[in-house]
Amino acid sequence: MRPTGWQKTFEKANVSEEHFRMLVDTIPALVWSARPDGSAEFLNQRWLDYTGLSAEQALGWGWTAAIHPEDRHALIDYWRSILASGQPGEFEAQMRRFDGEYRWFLFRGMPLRDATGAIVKWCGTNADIDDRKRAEIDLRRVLDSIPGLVATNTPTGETELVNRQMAQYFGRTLEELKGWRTLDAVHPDDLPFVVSTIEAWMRSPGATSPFEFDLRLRRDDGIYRWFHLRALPERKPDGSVVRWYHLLTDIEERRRAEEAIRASELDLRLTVNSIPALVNILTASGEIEFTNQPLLDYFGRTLEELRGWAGSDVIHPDDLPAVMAAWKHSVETGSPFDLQHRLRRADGLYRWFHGRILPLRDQDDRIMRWYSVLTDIDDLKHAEEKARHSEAFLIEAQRLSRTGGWMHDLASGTVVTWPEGSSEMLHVYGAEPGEDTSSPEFWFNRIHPEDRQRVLETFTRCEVEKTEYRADYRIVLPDGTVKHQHSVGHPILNGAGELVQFVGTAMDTTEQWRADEALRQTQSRLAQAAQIATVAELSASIAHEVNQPLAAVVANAHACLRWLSAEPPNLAKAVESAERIVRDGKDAGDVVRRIRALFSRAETERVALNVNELIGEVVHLLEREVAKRHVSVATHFARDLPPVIGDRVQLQQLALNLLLNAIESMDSVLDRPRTIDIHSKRRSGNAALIEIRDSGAGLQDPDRAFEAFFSTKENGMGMGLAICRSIIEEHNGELWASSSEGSGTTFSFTLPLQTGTAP
Amino acid sequence: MNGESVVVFVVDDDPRVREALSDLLSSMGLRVVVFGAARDFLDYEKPDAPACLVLDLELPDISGLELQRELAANGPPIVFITGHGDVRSSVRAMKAGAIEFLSKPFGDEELLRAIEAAVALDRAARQKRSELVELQRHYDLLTPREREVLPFVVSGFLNKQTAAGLGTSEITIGVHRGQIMRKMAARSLAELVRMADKFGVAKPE
Repeated sequence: MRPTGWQKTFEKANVSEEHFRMLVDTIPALVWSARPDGSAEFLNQRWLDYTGLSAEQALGWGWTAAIHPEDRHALIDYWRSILASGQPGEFEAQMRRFDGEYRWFLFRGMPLRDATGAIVKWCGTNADIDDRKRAEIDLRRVLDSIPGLVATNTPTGETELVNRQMAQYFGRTLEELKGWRTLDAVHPDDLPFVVSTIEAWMRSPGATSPFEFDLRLRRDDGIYRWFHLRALPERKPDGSVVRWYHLLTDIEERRRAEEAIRASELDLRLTVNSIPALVNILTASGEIEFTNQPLLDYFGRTLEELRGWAGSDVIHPDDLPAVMAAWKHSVETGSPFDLQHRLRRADGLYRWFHGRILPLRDQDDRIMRWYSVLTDIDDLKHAEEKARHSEAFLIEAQRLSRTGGWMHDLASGTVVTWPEGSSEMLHVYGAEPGEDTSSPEFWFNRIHPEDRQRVLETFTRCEVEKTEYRADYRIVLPDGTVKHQHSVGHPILNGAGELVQFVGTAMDTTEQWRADEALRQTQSRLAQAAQIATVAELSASIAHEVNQPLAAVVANAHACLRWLSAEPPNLAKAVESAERIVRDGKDAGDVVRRIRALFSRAETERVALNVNELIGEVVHLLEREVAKRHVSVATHFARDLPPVIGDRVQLQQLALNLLLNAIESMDSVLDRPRTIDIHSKRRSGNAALIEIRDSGAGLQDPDRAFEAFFSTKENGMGMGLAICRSIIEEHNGELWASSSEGSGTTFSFTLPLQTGTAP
Repeated sequence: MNGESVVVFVVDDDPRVREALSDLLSSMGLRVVVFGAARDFLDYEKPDAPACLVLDLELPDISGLELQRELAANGPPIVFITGHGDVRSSVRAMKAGAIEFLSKPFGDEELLRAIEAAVALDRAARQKRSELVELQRHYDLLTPREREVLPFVVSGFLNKQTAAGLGTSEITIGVHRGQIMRKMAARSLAELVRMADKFGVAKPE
C-alpha cells in the first residue's frame, strides 16, 4: 500500500512517515485511518495482529469481516451516518480476534480536515472494553434476573439504568425510560400519597435506611398493578445523594390474597355474626376469647363482661350437672363436646340449644383453642317433639283404629305405605318383613277373589274420573285369614290437573263387621226373646182365647150328658147342647190355628201375602184385648191392594206389636174414645202403605221410639218397636212414626208389592 | 140338693160360656141367673134364697176380684172361674174368701161340688143371719136397765155382786134377771150365755 495521504500529512507535521508508522504501530491500541468514503486506508500493526488479518485483507472494506455479525450492520450503518454528518462518533461492537474469540471494542472515529475544512480523512481507535462490557452484561443479567423492576436514578430523577422487566412493564426502551418521570405511571389514587411520602423523605436528609411503600403502577396495557417500592440512596461521604436504587416488587397477587383474606375475614365475621347460632372461641383453658354478636345479644352482655365468665349461671339448673360433666370430660380428654341443653336468654326465658365444642390443635396435637357453636334448637325441639308426638299418635291411632295409610303413585306404578315402616297396612295385610310391597299387585292380590274384580273396577273408574276412591272388600292373608277392609283414597292432581297419585287409608273393619254380624244375630235372638216375652205377656189372653171356648165345650158336653141321662131323657135339650159343642169346638180350633200361625218358628220365607188379611187376623186375635180395654178398632183396607212379599209370621208379629202398642198407649185416655184406625193403601213406588193411628197420648220423641230399650212403659223392655223396625228393614220397607202430643200417634210402614203386579 | 130353691148366679162376659153354664146348671136342676157384667149382677134384685156366685175373674167393667171386695160379707159365696189360671189372682181370691178357683175348662162334678159347698156355706150363713135377727128381736124387748144387767148375768155374776156393781138391791136384780130370761126366750142360763155370745154382748167393765 502507498500511504501518500499520510505522507503529506506527516511531511507537513515534519514527521517522517516511517517514524509515524513506527509510532502508530507501537501504541498499545488499535489505530486506524480511513478515507472520507469510509474505506480503511491504514490499520496499525496491533489491529492486524489482533484480528490476524493481513493489511491486504483488511484495507478498504475488508475490516468489516472482523466485526461480529450481530453488530456488523449496525456498525456500518452507524459509520456511514457519522461519515455523512462529519461529526465524531463512537460505537460499541464485538470484533473477532485472530484466534476466533470476539471481544468488545469501543470504536471511535474523528474527521481530519484541511484548511478549507473539508474532511481529508478519518482517524480512529478501537479500544478494548471487553471486561467492562462483560461486567455490564453480567450486571444486566443480574438485574434482569431480579424478580422485580429495577432502576437507578440520578438525584435529579433522571433514569440511569432499568432492567428488562421494567422496560417490558412500561413497554419502553431504556432510552425512552431515560429522562422519563415514573410518576406518570402512578395510579392517580396513589399519587398524592406517593408524592407526600417522597417529600417527607426529602425533608429528612441523611436517612440511610431505604424507604418503602406500596403503590399502583400502570402497565403498558393500561392495567394497574400493585408494587412494593423499596428505594435506597447511595450517598457521598458528605451525605449528598449520588444515585437512587429502586426495586419495585410486583405484589399484586399478594395484595389480592391479602385483600381476599381481609374480605374473607370480614365475610367470616359477618357470617359468624349472621349465622343463627351463638359462636364463641375459648382459650385452651376455657376462657372466652371471641364471641359473635348473636351470643352477646342472647345473653345481653358485652364481650368484656363475658371474659372469665363460666356461663354456669345461664345454664338451666336441670341441665347444669350434665353440661359440667360433659365439658369436664371434653377438657380432660380433648374430645368434642356435644350436648343439648337449655340456656337462659337475657329476658329470663330458657331455650334449648345444641352445644358443640371442638378443639383446635397445633402440630404437636396440643389444644390451642376451643370453638364453640350453640345452635338454637328450641323450635326444632318443640317441632320434633310435636312431630314425634304426632307420628307416635299417628302410629298409635293407626294401630288402635286398625287403619293403615297408603299412597299409590300412578306415574311409577308403586305403592308406599305410611308412616314408613310402621304402617298398620303392612301388619293388617300380613306383609312379611322385607317383603316387596311396592307393587300394586301385592295389594290387589290380597283381595278376596270374589271382591277383587269389583275393587279393581272401582279403582280404575276413580283413576279415570279422578274422583274419591272408596271400597269395602275382604282380603285373604297367606294363612287363609279373611279380613274386612274399608279403603278410601283421595286423588292428588298436579298443576296441570293430571292425576298423580292416590293417598288414602284402609281400615280393618273385621271387628266391626263381626260386631255387626253379632248385632244382627243378637237382634234376631232378641227378636225371638221379645217374641217369647210377647208370648208370655199374651199367654193370659191366649189361654183365655183357647180356654174360653173349651170351657163352653166342656160345660155343654156335661149338660148334654145330663139331659140324656135324665129320666126321661130331654133329647131336645141334649141336641141344643151338642150343637153348641160343635160351634164352640170350631171356635177353639180357629183360635188354636191362629196362635199356631203366629208362633210357629218357621224359617223366614218370602211369600206373597194379602196384607189386609194378615192384619185382619191379628186384629181378630186381639179382639178380646181390645174389648177389655174399651178400644174400638176400625179397619179401612184398600180392596184392590196387590199382595206384598214377606214372611207371614214376622209381619204378623209386626202388626201385633204395633197394635198392642196402640192399645197400651191409650190406657190413660179417659176423656175421649179410645180408637184405632187401620188404613191400607197403595203407595207410589210400588209399595203398600199401612197406617195404624191411635188416639193415645202421643209420643214425645217419635224417632227415639224405635231405639232398642227405649220405652215409655214402666215395665216395657223397649224392644217392641226396635224389632218392628228390624223386621221392616228385612222386608226392604220403611217404618216411621208421627205424633203430636195429646192427639195420638200414627205408625206407618211400607212393604214392597209383589213384582209384576204393577199396573 | 134339697128342696129349698137354690139360686146360682153366673157372671161371665163370654156369651158361649154363659150359655153353656146356664144349660149345665139347669140340667142339674139348679136355678140359674146369668149376667154379662158385674154391674148387671149388682143391680139385680136377688131372691131370698141360698145362693152362690160363679164369677169370671176377668170382666170388662169391674173385675171379679173388685166385685168380690165390693160384695164382702153381703154377697153369696163365690166360685171363681178363669181362663188364665193365674196363680197370683187365685191366691188373692181365695184369701178374700172364695170357695173355689176353677180353671177353664172344668168338669161338671168339680163345679157341682164347689156350688154345693158354696150353697151350704150360704145356707149356714143365712141360718146364722136369721138366728141373729131373732135374737135382735128379743133383745129389742129389753128395757135399758135390763140391757145393763144382761152382761153381768151372762158373765156368771151373782145377783148380789151385780146389785153392788150397779148400785141397786139384790131383789131388783133378781126381777130383771127373770124379765131377761123371759123376754129373750132362754130356757136356761147356759142358753142365754150362748145367745149373748152369738149376739156379741160386751163383758161388764
